[in-house]
Amino acid sequence: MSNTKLNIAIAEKSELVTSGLTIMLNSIGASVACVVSDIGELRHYFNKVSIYVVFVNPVLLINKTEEFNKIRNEFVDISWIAINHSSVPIEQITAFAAEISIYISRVRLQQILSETVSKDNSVTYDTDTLLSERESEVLRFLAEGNSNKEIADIMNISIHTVITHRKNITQKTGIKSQSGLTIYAISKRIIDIKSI
Amino acid sequence: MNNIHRDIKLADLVLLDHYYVLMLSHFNIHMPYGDKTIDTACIENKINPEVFLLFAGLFDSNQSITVPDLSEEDISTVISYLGNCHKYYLEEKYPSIKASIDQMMIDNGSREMKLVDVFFKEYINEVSAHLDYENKIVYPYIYSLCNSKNEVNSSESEFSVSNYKDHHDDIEEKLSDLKNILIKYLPGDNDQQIRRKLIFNLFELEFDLNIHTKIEDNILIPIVEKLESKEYRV
Repeated sequence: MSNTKLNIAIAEKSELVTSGLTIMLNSIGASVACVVSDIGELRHYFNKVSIYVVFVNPVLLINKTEEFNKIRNEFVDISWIAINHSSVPIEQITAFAAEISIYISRVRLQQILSETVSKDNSVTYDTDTLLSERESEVLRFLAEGNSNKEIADIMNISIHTVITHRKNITQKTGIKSQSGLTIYAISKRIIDIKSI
Repeated sequence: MNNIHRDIKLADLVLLDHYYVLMLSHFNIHMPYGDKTIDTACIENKINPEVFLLFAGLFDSNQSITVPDLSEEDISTVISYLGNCHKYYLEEKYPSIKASIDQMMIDNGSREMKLVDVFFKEYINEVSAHLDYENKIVYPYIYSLCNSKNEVNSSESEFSVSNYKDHHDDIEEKLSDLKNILIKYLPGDNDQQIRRKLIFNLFELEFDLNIHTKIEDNILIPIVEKLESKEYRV
């Protein structure tokens, strides 16, 4: 894990939550670069400081899906962690790398942060990338729900070639089913979870 | 493994390879075994020892399987064995795997973990449908073939061998995918203990499922084909 101080942004309206979270993050060696109450304000900071993680209250994303997606696509290296105020886990799958409850302990917070960040590092500096560029493309379309025939049409190749690519992907990863390959694709950031 | 014969004690078999406890359990042969031999236990439980030895031989992948002619009672034994496997999967294995996944969901907050949960739910649905198909269509069909004179028209039954085999492949594939995902790609650091438990659980399940599939493919389906061809002889 990098030795530079981890820069974090918080998008949350409650001052109670933001002060508490800031104190906890500081105590584990992370630095809070900014606190915003509207996700639109984040862009301003992203352009100024290298921010790696954003803690966001999902309530701030209501009716802001388009804006949120634009920001995510523009700043792909940022991990988003949801702050869950209720005792019910956030059920729907969104763009969040993880979620924290407001009852989280310092230790658990540290664990989640290091998981999230090390995951990103390993993806950026992944020297074990397995798949060729073409194979990654096929995988991406597959994970998005396309059939072999559809993939062949999109990529302008024969269906036979698609099948060969799939065989190679399975041989390299050990995964055969479309849903299994989707999970692989997400873990390698080949696709974003919103596109499935 | 090819020196298994009917005078071997059950206990020695199990001490040789603990998996036999499960196989014996699927035959409804219970512990404690005392000093009983395979022969004694089979006779007590109205099982043809040849059938038992046939199944035990499935362990040895080098051994080719020649299916002897099986009587109606033997076929009944085979189907009862397979039915016990189903119970084992549905009542024991899948609930315990599901419990591990539920526990992992707590320790592992990643989005990939949520997809693994969905993946497993889909897998269970597929398996349950497959087991249902076997219980409701395949086994009754086989019984009807045994009992019939020249009455049963096999095209009336919904059973199809190729369909049947396809189901197997899909299900095996998903289980293997799950293993690979857990071992290689699912991110997470705090879930090592439960992940290990889950993986062991899956390996155990896969082992029994492989034997189960071998029985279906190498014993059951040939029986069906034999019985079907007998019909058309007249």
